[in-house]
Order: sequence, then C-alpha cells, then structure tokens
Amino acid sequence: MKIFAILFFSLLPNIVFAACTQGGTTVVYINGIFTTSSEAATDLGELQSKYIEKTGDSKTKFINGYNPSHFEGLGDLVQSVFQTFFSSASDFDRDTILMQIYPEVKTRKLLLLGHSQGSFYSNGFYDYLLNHGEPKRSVGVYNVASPASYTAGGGLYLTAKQDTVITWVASMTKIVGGLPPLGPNTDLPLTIKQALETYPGHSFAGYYLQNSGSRIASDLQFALKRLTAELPLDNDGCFTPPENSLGRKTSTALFVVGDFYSDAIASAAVQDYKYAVATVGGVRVAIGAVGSVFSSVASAFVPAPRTTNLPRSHDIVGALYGSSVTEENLREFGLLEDQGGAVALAAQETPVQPGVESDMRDGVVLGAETESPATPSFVTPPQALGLPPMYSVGGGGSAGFGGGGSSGAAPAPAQDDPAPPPVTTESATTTATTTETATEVATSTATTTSTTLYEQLDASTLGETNDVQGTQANPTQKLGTGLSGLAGSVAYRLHGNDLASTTAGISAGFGDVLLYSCFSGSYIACGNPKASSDFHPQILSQSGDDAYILVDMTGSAYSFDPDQYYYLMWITAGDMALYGSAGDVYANGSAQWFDGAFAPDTNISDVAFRICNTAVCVLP
Amino acid sequence: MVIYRIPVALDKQKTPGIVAQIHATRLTLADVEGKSLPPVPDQAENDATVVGIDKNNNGIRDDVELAIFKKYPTDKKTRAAALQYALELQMEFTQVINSPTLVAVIQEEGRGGICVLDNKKTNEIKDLTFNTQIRKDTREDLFRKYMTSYSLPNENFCDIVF
Repeated sequence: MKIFAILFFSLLPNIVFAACTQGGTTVVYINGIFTTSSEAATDLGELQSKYIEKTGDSKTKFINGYNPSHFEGLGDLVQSVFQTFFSSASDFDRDTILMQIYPEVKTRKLLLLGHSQGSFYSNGFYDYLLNHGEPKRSVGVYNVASPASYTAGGGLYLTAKQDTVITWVASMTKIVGGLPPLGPNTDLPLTIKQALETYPGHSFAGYYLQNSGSRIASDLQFALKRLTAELPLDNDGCFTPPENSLGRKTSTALFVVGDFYSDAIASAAVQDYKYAVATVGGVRVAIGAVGSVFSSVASAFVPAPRTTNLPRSHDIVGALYGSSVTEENLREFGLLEDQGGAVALAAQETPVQPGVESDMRDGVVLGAETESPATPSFVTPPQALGLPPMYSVGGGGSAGFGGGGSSGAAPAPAQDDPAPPPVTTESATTTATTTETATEVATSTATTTSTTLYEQLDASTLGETNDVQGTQANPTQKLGTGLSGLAGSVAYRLHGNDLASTTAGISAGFGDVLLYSCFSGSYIACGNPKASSDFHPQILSQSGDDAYILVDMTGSAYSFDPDQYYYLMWITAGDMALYGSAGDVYANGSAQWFDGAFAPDTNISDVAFRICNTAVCVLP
Repeated sequence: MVIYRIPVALDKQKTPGIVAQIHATRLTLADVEGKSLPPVPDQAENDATVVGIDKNNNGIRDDVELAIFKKYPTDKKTRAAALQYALELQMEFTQVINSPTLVAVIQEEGRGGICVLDNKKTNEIKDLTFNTQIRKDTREDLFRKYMTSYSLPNENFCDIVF
C-alpha cells in the first residue's frame, strides 16, 4: 500500500515557473558520490561564506543541486562505472536536479560547480543547457576533485595531487584503458586529521575549501566574470527544464521505493549477508510489482547499452570508492544483470543536437581485473620480541624519519631500486610482554616461521623520501617494486637520543602505519592504503637509544603485486616521542601535541625496518 | 490510499505556517546582551533529549548559549552572529518535519553562516550544538530523509546589525 501511495503522489503534476533576468550571477553546486546530505549542505554554506569573505561579492546566488545517493550507495557505484569508464550515464539524476533547480535559477549567467562525481553532472548540465538553446557564453563549469577527463566549456578545475580518490581513478583508468581524469594542478598538504579521513584529500569543505578556499573563490569570480547574458528577460525561466514525463515520474517512484528498501537494509545494521540479499530482493519485488510500466520507463535510468557489461567493472568502482560490496554480491542482489534488472551496467550515449558544441568525450573501455586484497592465510597474535642488540647502522646523519633530513649524508633513496628477493628467516620463538597488542595472548608462546618480504637494515640506505607523500609531511619509506608475498607485519628499529620509554597514557600510541601502492611505474599515482596497522603501534622494548616497534597488520594483510611500487607511511597524532624528545614540553601541557602539525625531529637519526608475512617480524 | 493521504495532507496544511515561522525567527538585542541568561544546565538532563534545555525560551539551547557568551564575552558583534547561527541550527531539531521545512532551516542557517563569515567559527558552533551521538544521528537522519535542492539567501544576513 505504501508503495502505491508513493507511486501515486509521485505522479502528481509538478509545474513551476521562474523569471530569468540578465543581471546577476548564479553558482550551482553539485555534490559528489557518498557525500552525505548534511555534508552537501555544509559544502554549499561554506562555499558561499568563503566566496563572500574573499571577494566581497554577496550578490551572487548559490544553489545546491543536490545529487542524491540511491540504494545506500549501490546505485551510485553503478552510475560511477558508467561515468568514469563510459563517459556517460543515466540522465535520471541529471534531470531530477535540473527540475529541482529550475525555479531557483533566475539569472542568465550560470556557473556549474561540480565536486567529485558531481563533475560528471556539471559537465552533463552544460551539454544539456547548450543542447536546449542556452548560449555558450552564459554558462560555465568549474570542477573540483574531478574524475572526469575534461571540464565542459573549457572551464577551470582544481585537483590536488594529494587527492587519493582522483589518484586512484587515474591509476585505474590507466589500467582499463578509460579516459583518465585531468591531472592534479595544485599541491595542498594534508593535515593529520585530513589524512585520517576515509578518502584523504577529497572532501570539498573539509579539504579543498579549507586548504585552498582563496583560490576556489578567485577561480569562481574569474569564471563568473567571463560569462555574458546574451538573451533577454524571459518570464518562462532561465532554461528549458527536462520534461516531467510519466516515465520520469515512475522512475522517481522506483528510486523512492528502492531507497526505502535500502533504508531498511541500513537500519537493520546488516550483519547477515543472507538478510541483505533477501532485503534487496525486496527491491526487486517492489520494482517487479510495477510490471510492464517499469519495462517501458526503465530506459529513463537504465540506459540503452552502448557496450556490454565489463567483467569486474563493479570491482573497479568498489575499489575506487571503498565499497566492500563485491560484484558477486550485486549479482546475487539482482542489481547487476545485463539488461532489464533494477540497475544494469550499460551506458547511454547522450544525443547532441547538430550545430551545438559539446565537450563530451567517448570513452574506450578495455576492461581489466582489479586486485583484491588477499585474505591472510593465518593470523598469529603478535608476540613480544626477544630482540637482539641494535643492528649497527651506518651513515648516522640526521635524515630523521622522512621528515626532511638536514644533512646530505643519506644516500639516494631507493625509489628506483628493485626490491631484494624475499629472504627466509629462521623460526622465531617469542613471548608476550606488556604491549597493548600482545595482551590477548600474554601467557602464550608460539613458534612462527616468518618470511621476510622486504628489509632495510642499514639506515644509511634507508628508503625514506620527501617527495610523493612527503608533501603530507608524513614520514615514509619507499619499498620499490618487484615485491611479492603477504605483508603481515613490520618491525621498526629506531635509533636516536632522548626517546620516550613508553606511550602509556597516549591512547593513540604512535599513530598508524599504512602501506600504499602506486600504479604508474613510479611513486606519482598512489591510491588508498592497502594495509594498515591493526593497533596503534607501541614501543615493545627499548635499550638505551634504541627502540623497537612492531606493527601488526594481519587484519588487512596484503599480497604484494610485483608490478607495483609501494611505500610505508607513518601517520601520527603529532609530535610524539617517536619524533620528538621525550623531554619536550608541549604548549598544551599534554604528552601529546594535538594541533595536527607534524614536526620531524633530528633526535631520530637512524631507522631500520623489515616486512614479514606473519604478525611477527624480528629484526636481526 | 486515503489512510496514507491524511498525514500527508496534514503536513501540507501545516508546512506553510512552519516555513513562515522559521523564516520569521530572529535573534533579539536582549539575547545578545544576555539580559536573561539561563542558569548552567545539568549536562545529563540537557543531553537526555535531542532538543535539550532552553530555560529562557529564546530558541537557543542553554549550554550552547552559555558557551558562546563565554567564548565571546566582549565582542558583541561576533557574539550576535554566533548566537544567531546557534538559534538557526537548533531549529533543525524543533521545526523540521519535511523537505520544505528543512530547506527553510538550511536557508536561515545560510544567513547566520554568512553573518559569522568564518567557517572555523561556524564549525565550532556546530560542534557545540551537535555534541552528542543522538543529536548527530538525528541530524543525519533528517537530512537523509528530507534533503533536496535549494538556494541560499544572498541578503539580510545578520539579524542584529552593529
């Protein structure tokens, strides 16, 4: 009954008008994938605030062209496959947004600002408007963190090289042969807080506006000044809205139904996969109830195929946007059928009217399989290390921990050096002591054979780097390429003076260690972390100026791909003892520096590390 | 179908009035001058409900109001902007019943946000207002259910002009 009620009311007439003036300017912001509704509102509010603050122009109108999420993001994933790899997508959301903003747009001069996935819509709006009679010089596009390969109308864009999502998109399109996004054109170092977000370097308000608000404001002002109002006052509105056809209305109803069921999934806090399947099955039942009506209008949001489904194409997008839903899941849900399902993987070619310029590009899709993180073959609880004396490290110097060494003593980084072949080490019998990670097995002992996958025992040739992630001011160690095996742990040995002897009372321990991979044959296209420390690393033992730390990452153990480049990165909550002197007095009076600023310290002079395939890594 | 139509019809009847009320809500000079500042609320009692405690009935939650006075004891202009923004944020919990009312509140927040004209400060006030998990969840739920496209005002940003 509720479904029919939704359908009925969605089919009611919806007529609105808006006069269009030559004066004034309007900015329409379109949010991206997985931006929550409240974040979309925050984005627009902070955009307007920053724009007025920097330009003094309070007369420009700001509109939110809200780009909703469907099926708790599943629909967005599918659409993103279209958009990223096929350059075109369903027109459903585009038309919905256009109809919603139609009564609000009251100026001829219109600037479309897309963020992330919203860039596809800003580009799409531009084509739609030009196809429907708007003069080219009245409409502009400005995209931020754009995964698209162009900005419609030759508009400006802003993408930071720290944007992990766009970097990942670039890597993936390179592999599958799709059109890559526009290259990064700014360098905006991440704060610690930003680096710890789900998609570091990608948020609109939380990253781009915060780090580059002045530039965005001036780019907007520049783009707005380029626009001219060529058509006179029009009492029928500023553009021709999409037809609110029966098919479109029914599509609306179907999304409402689908989203309703998706809500049920979310609210049930799905733990049980079978329940999820059953619930999503409800979506299909509901859609099926519409019967032939659905079939007749399905093309409104299930576009006619220009190409067949690509194997693993969902996995690509899942990897892009961090979804844990697999292609198999979707197929079982019935959301991944070739044709006629709730949402099918195919792309629609946007018709372009003769005589109208378009910046749309056709994508060539070759298809490729993405990598999947390997399941750990076994998980061994971390054991305390019966650590031998500190390995003699040469070089000394003050290169620090990747944060900008001050002397030239350190040799060239190992970025272009192939990784050494795996080394099999002897069995290690260990006993737990007092670390946080070891408490669960405090009384047990285990004999574990661990294989070394990579090691850098001589600090004088430490593969640390200041480029790539160095812009994030986080210490990194380059690992090179040619690695293989399952990375389960990393042991670090640090040498320096005045190190802390404990992290007791500092809940964040020594932050986190992340393993990154890069795709472009170098360190310039690096994506999301592949593996990360299961617990905040703590000092396991200490002897004089040497401290030993074990990083257990079996929870996200990762299989190295010999073709990729890798690096390790530490992210800490600040200038903690690992990087600074234990005797440092912090301005906040605490044992921890909370302002997010990383301050490398020359107290750490040498670092050695080893990556192993188990939870236990022992340095010689 | 008729049964389902009734609440919709009631909402439709109420909506214009609520929207008008939202847009008519204004901070007063007395609020800025703290002429009837509330007592410090019991935090547990205050956080027991989403709406919280507003003893002086000025639309601003008492703990938020007092925190703003504490942060801006002498800067009246900033305090006024901050109080206005807090007043508007609080309406998310008291006035939103559907998309039109959510949009009206967002638009009012837009005025207050520009009056403050400092994203760091507005985020601080948001943190004060949405300070418990249930308040954050309630907010997310409201936005998830009712969010749609809208435009922000571009004039008359501040209720009190100094």
